Amino acid sequence: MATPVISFNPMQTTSTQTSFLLSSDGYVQGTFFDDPAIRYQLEGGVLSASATLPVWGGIPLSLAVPAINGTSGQPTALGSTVSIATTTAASQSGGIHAWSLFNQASAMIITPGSGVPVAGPGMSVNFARAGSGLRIALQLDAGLANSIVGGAPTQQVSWDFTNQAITTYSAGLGALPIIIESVSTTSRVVTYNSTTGAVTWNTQGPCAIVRI
Amino acid sequence: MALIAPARALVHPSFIEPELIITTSQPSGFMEAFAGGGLRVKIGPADKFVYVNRMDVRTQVAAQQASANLLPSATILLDYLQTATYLVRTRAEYSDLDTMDAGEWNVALPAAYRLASRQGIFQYIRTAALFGVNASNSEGLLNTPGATVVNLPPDIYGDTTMRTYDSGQLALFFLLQIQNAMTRMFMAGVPNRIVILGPQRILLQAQMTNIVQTTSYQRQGAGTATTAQVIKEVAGQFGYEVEFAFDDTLIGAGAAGADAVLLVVPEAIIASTPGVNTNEFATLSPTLQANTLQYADMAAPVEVTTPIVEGLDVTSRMRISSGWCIRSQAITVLSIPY
Repeated sequence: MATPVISFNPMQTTSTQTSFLLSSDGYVQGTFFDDPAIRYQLEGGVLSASATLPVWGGIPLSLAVPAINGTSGQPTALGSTVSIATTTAASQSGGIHAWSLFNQASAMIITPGSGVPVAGPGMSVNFARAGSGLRIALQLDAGLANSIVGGAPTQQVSWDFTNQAITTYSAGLGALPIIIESVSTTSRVVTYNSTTGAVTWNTQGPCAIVRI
Repeated sequence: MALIAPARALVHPSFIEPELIITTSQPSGFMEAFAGGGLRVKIGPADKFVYVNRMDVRTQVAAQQASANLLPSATILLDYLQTATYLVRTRAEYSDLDTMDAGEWNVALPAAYRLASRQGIFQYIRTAALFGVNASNSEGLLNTPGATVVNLPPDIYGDTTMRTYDSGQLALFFLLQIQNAMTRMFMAGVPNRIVILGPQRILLQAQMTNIVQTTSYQRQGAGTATTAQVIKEVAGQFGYEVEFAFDDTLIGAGAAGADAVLLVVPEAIIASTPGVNTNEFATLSPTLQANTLQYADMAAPVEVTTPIVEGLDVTSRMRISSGWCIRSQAITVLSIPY
């Protein structure tokens, strides 16, 4: 690994700026609503050794079928190799096959000043495949929350691969294969600082519950 | 360092007053700004960091007249806060000859060195509390990220300094900051302690000199009470106990060279209501009812005394954290030009 993917700032003194809330109503990006029928769709994989960005919950993933078990070990035991998707269409290279999740992902790491659990290369990533039917919380583009409300659950939206959030539909990005169920603007969503590598929570951000 | 106890020329007969004039340093009130009014003596002498774990929650429910099966869920999140600790040490060495020289001045040298070492450490604890050991790492109460920062606005006559400001309006300014702090923390109506820590020249003037001027209309304290009395009395009637504490290292420490005054709510009183409590989650224990903390391994420095050639070596040490505001809504940094 050339450059560290997980930010670590050991000396920083940290404090909470959001420990007082009017209401706890909201979602947390990258989690699914508990559901006894389909919770077993939660699957484990391993982040590609060539990943240059960490993975947190609520990110579209591209999967690779693991190598065949051989004398050098059992690569299939680790699950699919995952990498952050770069395009929408599942048929294309880097297309969306699954969504990363925080559920049960207690091996993800937080560091001082980077309070969102993340996985680096070679670490386990929990995810659910597109089509599994789970209802997960994904970050919304801030301007989109109000325009989605009142529309059809099947309205077309796209994925912003830079800011890792649902954005306005564009033909270039393509339509996300999701069904939008509800929206909140008081949710915990993830902010990535590309300069410091810190992954932090925005505790009053826009989020949507979507069925994948 | 050294003991300077010289020989001296005296006239005989004479009388030497046995009591000494000892240099007095400001006994800072900075500790009042911390939860419990003191150091949190919990850490070990070798602990390099202090961590505080934190729990947050987001909740969702469904409500229908009949029962459906697709239900939302609550999410519980855990993360942690940290601050570094620092070992503060100082050394004193003396011999029996030094002790005798000091004795000629009616000074008990071992006790004098002990108190000098302690004072050095204690004053550094004050520096760490307010300004941090390393300010660039967000240490110290003044450097709390996300703290509310307020510059004193001009009064209705356009006055901007403590010496000229309208006394009644200054009381309202402070009361507004208390109101804002309590509002931010959803502690309206919850009796609590508020500490206003600032230089003597600001706060003592508010206590002693700034009697609220009479005007053509009735206002609180006019002609009888000072700014500080109005603050204390009005806030006190609603259960807020306002304490004034002094520290002159805050002179010039505010914005643009103004004096800094810290308005601190050291303890987070977890408000709850009987029956349906919309703050039910926070009744889970253990919960930390502190907003501002400074950790230490001992209440006073440990002394390690070692014989050295012809004398004694005494090192004093204490491990401390910087002043740490774990909930940044609890601090308001006021900049008040003198």
